[in-house]
Amino acid sequence: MQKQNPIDDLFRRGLADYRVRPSDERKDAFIREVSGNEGKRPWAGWWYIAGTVLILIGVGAALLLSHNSNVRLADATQVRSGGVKATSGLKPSAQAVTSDGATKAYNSNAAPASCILHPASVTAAEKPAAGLHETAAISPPAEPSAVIKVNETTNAQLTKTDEKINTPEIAAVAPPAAEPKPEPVVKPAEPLVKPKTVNEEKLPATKTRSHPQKNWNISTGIYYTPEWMFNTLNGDKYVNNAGIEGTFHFGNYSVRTGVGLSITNGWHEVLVQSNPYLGAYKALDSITFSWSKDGSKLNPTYYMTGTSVYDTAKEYTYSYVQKRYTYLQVPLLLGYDFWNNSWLRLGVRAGAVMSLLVNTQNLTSTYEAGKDRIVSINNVTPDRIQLNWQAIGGINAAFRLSRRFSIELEPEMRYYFNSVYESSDITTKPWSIGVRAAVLINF
Amino acid sequence: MQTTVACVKSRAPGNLFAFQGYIYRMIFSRRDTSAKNPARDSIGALYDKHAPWLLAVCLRYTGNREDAEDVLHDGFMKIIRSIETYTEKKTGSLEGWMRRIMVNTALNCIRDHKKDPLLTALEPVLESVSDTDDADDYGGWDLTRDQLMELVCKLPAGYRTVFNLYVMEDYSHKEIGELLGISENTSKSQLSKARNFLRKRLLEYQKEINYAKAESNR
Repeated sequence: MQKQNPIDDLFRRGLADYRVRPSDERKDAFIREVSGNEGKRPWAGWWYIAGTVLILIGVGAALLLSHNSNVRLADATQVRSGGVKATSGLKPSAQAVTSDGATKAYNSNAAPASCILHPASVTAAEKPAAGLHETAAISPPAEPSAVIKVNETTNAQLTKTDEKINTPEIAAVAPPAAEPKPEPVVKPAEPLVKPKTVNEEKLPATKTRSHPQKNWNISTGIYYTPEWMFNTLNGDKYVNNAGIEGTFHFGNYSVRTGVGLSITNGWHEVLVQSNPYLGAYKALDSITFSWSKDGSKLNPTYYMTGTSVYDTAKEYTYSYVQKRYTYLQVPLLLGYDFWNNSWLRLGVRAGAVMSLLVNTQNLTSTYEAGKDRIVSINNVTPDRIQLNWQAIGGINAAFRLSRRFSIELEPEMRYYFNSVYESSDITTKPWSIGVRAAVLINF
Repeated sequence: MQTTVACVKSRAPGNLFAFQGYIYRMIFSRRDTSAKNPARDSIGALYDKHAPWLLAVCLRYTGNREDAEDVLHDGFMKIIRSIETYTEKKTGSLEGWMRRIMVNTALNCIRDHKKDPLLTALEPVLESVSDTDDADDYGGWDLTRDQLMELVCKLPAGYRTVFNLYVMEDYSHKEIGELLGISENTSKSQLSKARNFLRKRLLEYQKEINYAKAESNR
């Protein structure tokens, strides 16, 4: 139980129900901050618009490019599964089948047979084309009937497996077809119809026989991102980010995560309060006396302590300390690829990054006071916040070096959700630009 | 009050998921300029009800209004963020809980500023004050509450902190010592000097008042 004191009682009673009405500005600021930083983000509307435009551009580009890329992918798939390689003596060139130019060249060699290879159905025509190439090489431009026979044979063969079609049997069939027949069996109009029928019938068969492609893959690797940060207390800053990451690709979509370190240097301002050094003296602590040996004299012994003298007036000095901040970063990004070919992939990436301050290191000494006595060192620049969240978005370009290895370049932009400083007075939210470079291994 | 607290709780980012939700709302929520925002209204009501007396608490510790409003802001943010951890059974009354948060925030502020040239916490003032307490000197005072608060604000930071903790918050010297990182005797000494400082100022006030009364009687 505390002792009652009249002064204590006076103030306790007098100030018990004392109230001070806070200013309206403070209340408004508080309500704004509590209800989600409303009003503190004048650029928020522009961010929404920029994000919407980016998404629209991405979707539009994806729609525009998807048709072409699908055709190319389909061609490549069918050339690969068509077994052209197995045909002896033939150039297993996809161009001979897929490109219009090659088709035209073929038609110019065998004008009457041009109807056999219908340009509209190049995918299904690639198998007969192999045989026809050989036929054309062996025999001179023949009558339509001969060619048609080849196609009929081919048609028959096409009902079997691809392997059978691509065996030299086709070549064996071709010469008899080239032999002159006394009776032209087929009318000139028929080839126009038959190959189409063949193609139309075989197209789904070819598709069904193609091997199902793996629609997903995983890649992992290392990345490095130089980052230029703006809107900080120290002005523009340079940040190094590096780490390991893994990406799961599913079709055109991807999810990327990993772990990395972000290292940056910064100047930290401190206010040093000190007492200037004035001088020193020896203070007498004690004296002891002892008799001399002959007992005629008292010998004093002085015990002294060196004592420094400082001015009572305080001196204030602003000093700068260079610090190194190390953050642990965990990104989580979603991606969509709108362009994809054999060596290049383009896409957009967006997500969030969590930054956790793990180490702060002083690179320079705080203050060299000399002989002055330091009374206090007060932080002027506030300390860094422990946890920070960032939104990140960028354009991803992946270059395939080989089946296993690829490199990625990703110009990106970050927006910090909260100030990197602990002080609540600082509401500046940094943003940054950077270019991520990564070397990846694909599995 | 229960409704207000519950509504504020639902708004407060207390754990990771709530924090993520808070971030989500911060990004994606549309600016609601209308008054029909229950959470915001509840927070506003909570603020209107408790901010005046909490600001008085802050003012007693900081000694100036500007710092007091800063402390009130930070303290109220802590209250909103941690209100979901408040339970009446464990932490006592809501007012007591809020007062503790505000006092701790104010002490943090004083610690942050104690090396600041403007605030010299626990530093002896160059003024000779008597260390005696003579209760007979205290009669009936004619001071208003504002004048009492003004006197407290005029105390040096160190005296003020110990005086507030001991007199207004009923902390013991041992608790004050642990809280401020000083010895028990230092706390006692600071309190004694604070009382003497106040007594001297009170007497000066009283003299002025008596003089004014005498002048008016003539």
